[in-house]
Amino acid sequence: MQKFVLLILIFIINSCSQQQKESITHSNIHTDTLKIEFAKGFKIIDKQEYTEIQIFDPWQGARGKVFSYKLNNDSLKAKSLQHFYKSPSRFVCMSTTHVALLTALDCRKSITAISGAKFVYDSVLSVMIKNGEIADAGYDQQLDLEKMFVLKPNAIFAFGINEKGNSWLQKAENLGIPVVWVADYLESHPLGKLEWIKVFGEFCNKREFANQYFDSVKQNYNVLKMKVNKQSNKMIISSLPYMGVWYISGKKSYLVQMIHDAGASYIGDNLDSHESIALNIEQVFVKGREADVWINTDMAKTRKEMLQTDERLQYFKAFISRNIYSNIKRMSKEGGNDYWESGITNPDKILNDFIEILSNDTTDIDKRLHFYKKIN
Amino acid sequence: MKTVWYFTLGISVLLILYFYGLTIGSQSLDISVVFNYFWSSEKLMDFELLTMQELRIPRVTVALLAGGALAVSGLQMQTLFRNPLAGPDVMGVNAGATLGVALAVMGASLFSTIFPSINDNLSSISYHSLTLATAGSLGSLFVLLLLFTVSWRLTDSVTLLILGLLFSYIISAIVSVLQFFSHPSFLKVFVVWTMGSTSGITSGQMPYLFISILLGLILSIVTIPAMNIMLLGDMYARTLGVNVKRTRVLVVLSTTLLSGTVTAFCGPISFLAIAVPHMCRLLLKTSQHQILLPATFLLGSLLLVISDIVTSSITSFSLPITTFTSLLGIPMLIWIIIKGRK
Repeated sequence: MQKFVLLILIFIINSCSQQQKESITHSNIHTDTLKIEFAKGFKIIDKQEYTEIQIFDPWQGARGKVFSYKLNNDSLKAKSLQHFYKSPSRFVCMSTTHVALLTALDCRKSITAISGAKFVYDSVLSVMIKNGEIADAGYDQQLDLEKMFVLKPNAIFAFGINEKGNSWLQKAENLGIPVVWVADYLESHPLGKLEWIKVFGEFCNKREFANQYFDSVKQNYNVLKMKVNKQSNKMIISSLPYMGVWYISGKKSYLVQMIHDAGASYIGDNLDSHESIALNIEQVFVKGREADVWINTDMAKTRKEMLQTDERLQYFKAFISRNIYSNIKRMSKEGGNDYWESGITNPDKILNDFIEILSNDTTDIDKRLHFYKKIN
Repeated sequence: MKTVWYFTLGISVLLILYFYGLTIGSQSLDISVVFNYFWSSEKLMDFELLTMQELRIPRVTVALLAGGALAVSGLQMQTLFRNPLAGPDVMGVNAGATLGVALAVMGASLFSTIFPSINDNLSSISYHSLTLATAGSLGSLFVLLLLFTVSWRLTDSVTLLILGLLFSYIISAIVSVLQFFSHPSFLKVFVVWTMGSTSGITSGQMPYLFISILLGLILSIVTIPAMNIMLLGDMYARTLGVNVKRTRVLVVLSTTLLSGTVTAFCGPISFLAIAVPHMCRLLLKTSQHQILLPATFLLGSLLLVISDIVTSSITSFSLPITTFTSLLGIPMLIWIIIKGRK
């Protein structure tokens, strides 16, 4: 009797595992998920008739939210709001990082409108904006919906700050304007941010180009990372305090990742967060005074301007030793900063800047820096 | 006798809390460090000396001065407008300071859109902390003068309150426009300012704040006899020989120096100015300014020092001080309104 029960159990287990294998094999026939190395916010799945892009939790605090977009080579099949035709045409960008990703794909002409167009750094795009070829999409996250209605874009590339702030985009969808969530800003690795080029590559029908671009930058980044002297032991402090409040990046942010990749430690290494955290000046004062290098001094372009913001900065070691660098080398007169634009598609150049800044040889350093500038 | 006892108790508690406040911060300092700083600073390590000199003393001293100054300005406004709900936040004076700061910080963005060539100079000006303080004070003065001018024609206190609120709305609309055109970096500076903080002031800025408050207090002391009589109405005051016009000008100047400068340096700190004078009246059961004025200064200082200690000790992050003053002030205000109704 016992043997009989055992045989039945073996048979059931075996048949179940057979079924499982079949379903996997079955799914392998129809779908193929593209390899995503660093980004955590999306998946690209090739299906028999279309490509599916899944975007996960595209704003801070989102839990279990999945947005699915289907992309088709046949324009006739792209009829619903979540079903797109793979073609570089008529996109609205709500962030300059989206602009940078499309620019890297050489898809400038497919941009119809940009949010905060006056802050765009790219010279070609600036001319297009001045000539009226690219419109201003509105302020910050708030879309000019009437303009959108007239422009009839194929997609609005949007980012979400929180659930409430997304109501404008919900309205756009209600008006029949497709919205695509882009969560590049939530990625904690610089190459993860860049990897979103693959999503844009799908929309522009430039998959190969996007993959090649990503692989090339990744290779440069990794080569630089390998060269780094991990024993440098230098500590970096960033940004400036206002009214006694100092925003310090959390250790899971992409900035801190790059600082670590450049072989340095960061003042906020103990802050377990993806975002910047508002700290009291006293908290930063204690540890920050010993930092060797200061980066990202916001709008302060000189040491004098730093002191005008808060004179207590004079006690910091990096201030005294004049090891201060800010990401303001490439700025437009209107205040657009290329660091926030092409910086996303060239993290290798930012890493190279950090390596140069941390090196002991700082003679003529400004000539070797791409995004950064020494603050005197 | 009871009043003397209250003052003695208040001063003693304030002194204890002041020294206790100096030990509170992200790094806990022993009370002996605080005493050594005042009496034998050579015993302190470099780090302790710097922390005391540049961080703790400015922070707690600003809380002490700002709390007192705001409370006195509230008392003066309540007497000047003969309105129990008058105060710099309700009457639009804080909104005026906000406008001044918003213009100084974000106006640069707006003007640089129109004149891109002057962007560099404007951005450096708008970051200067003293520029912000001056702009905030001028904004407060502007609103106070507006209110003052209107108060000549409108004696009804409710109408004046409504006007104060309307000024706040207009200013808030202008600030929204400025925010719309502002560069994100400027917007960040402005938003941080609106949170209110006592830790942003440096030892170098302290003399400016101290002199402004001192001048404001001197003016308020000078006007004490006239203010006592003005409680009975302008006509009565005139018949008793009070120069009402001169008194009003002095009070407006004093209020600007007190609340305008504090708001400009520390950001908007809510409800202390309204609540504290009422608390003092209830405690001391008098409306005489020679008693109320020092009492409001004392209680205002005490409450803001407590707020500072609480916000500095309950979290390691930067908690806006105005959150605690609102939590403290609003229930008191509700209590005052309910008690008044009864």
